[in-house]
Amino acid sequence: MTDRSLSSLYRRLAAQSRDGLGDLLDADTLVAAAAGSLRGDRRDEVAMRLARSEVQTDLVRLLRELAPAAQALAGEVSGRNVAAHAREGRGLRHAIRPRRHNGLRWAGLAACLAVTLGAIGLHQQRERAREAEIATKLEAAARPDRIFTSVDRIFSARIDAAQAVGDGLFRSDFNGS
Amino acid sequence: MIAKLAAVGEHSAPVAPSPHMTGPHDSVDARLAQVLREFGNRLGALLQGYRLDRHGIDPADIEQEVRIRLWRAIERDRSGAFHASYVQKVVATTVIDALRRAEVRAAEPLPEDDDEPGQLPEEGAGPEQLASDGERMGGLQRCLGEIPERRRLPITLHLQGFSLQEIADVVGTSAEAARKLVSRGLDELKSRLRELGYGEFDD
Repeated sequence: MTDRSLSSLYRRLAAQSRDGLGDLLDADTLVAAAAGSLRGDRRDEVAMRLARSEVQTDLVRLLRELAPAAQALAGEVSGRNVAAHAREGRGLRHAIRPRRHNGLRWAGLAACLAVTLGAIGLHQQRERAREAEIATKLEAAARPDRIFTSVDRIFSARIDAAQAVGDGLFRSDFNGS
Repeated sequence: MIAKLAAVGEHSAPVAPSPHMTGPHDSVDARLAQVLREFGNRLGALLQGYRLDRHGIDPADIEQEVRIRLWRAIERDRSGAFHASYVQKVVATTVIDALRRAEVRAAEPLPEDDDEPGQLPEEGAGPEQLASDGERMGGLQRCLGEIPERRRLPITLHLQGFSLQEIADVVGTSAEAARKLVSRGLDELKSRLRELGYGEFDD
């Protein structure tokens, strides 16, 4: 009886023309094909190679169906690793904690506080001294304006006297000299 | 401890005992071993379902090898996240390795044993049938070659057994677009085969 199934005929054709397993894709590509995350520039090439290979087609489809189980396993392992990390972290903190030198630790803290307060006090004292110095300088610099003083040349009595002589040009007896 | 390792790879798994597996964290490890066992069972079922033994590999061997590789990876790196894609990659690598080993075995000549009775050729297609098949395969190849690549790829993936969603993911399109490409492509292919005198075909 003649097989009229195109699928069957095509698979036999693909199996016949296949040259061993030399055309096998690498594991990363097969996983990406199963996850639908192939790079755009590789899609056609990978599709062509998958279409020629029954075993790779089976493997990609198997990986696709296996994905939920792989996800569950990966989640379990990651959860365990996180828990192990937390335990190790706690153990490390316990290991480095100095239990027998509590007095020394408080003395150190008090010394730090004293040094800090001293530094702040010194800084404030210096600020006050500088402000006083600036105030003194400002006071020394505050002298009367020369412009409005009686010794000012513009408003002095001598200039007024000279101007009081009057302009010769507008006098009726002006003769050009 | 030995019981736990045996549970991970049901056959005698050559996994060295680890100091991490003792003490108060045994329950966590037991849970992990259980999940790993379930994963192995699922993998075994799929390997059998897809009949990968047709390609000369033993599903039970693959399942055990995957469990061992995964357990080693889990024990080796206990610091970071464990990704599902890594698990998938371990499976793919193990299957590819097994396929390559099977190919090498197939290429090696079988030892001659005169005592064994010679195997009779399997009952199958006769010469006429083979000639007819060869002719139709040639026609199919020719017709596929005449179809533009954009439509040819989805058709060939479909004929190879991919579902529409799988075709869409591989080719990078929507399932609906893949359905149209496959449907029109198959119609075109059948029409060409009919015109060349190969008669009617089913999908």
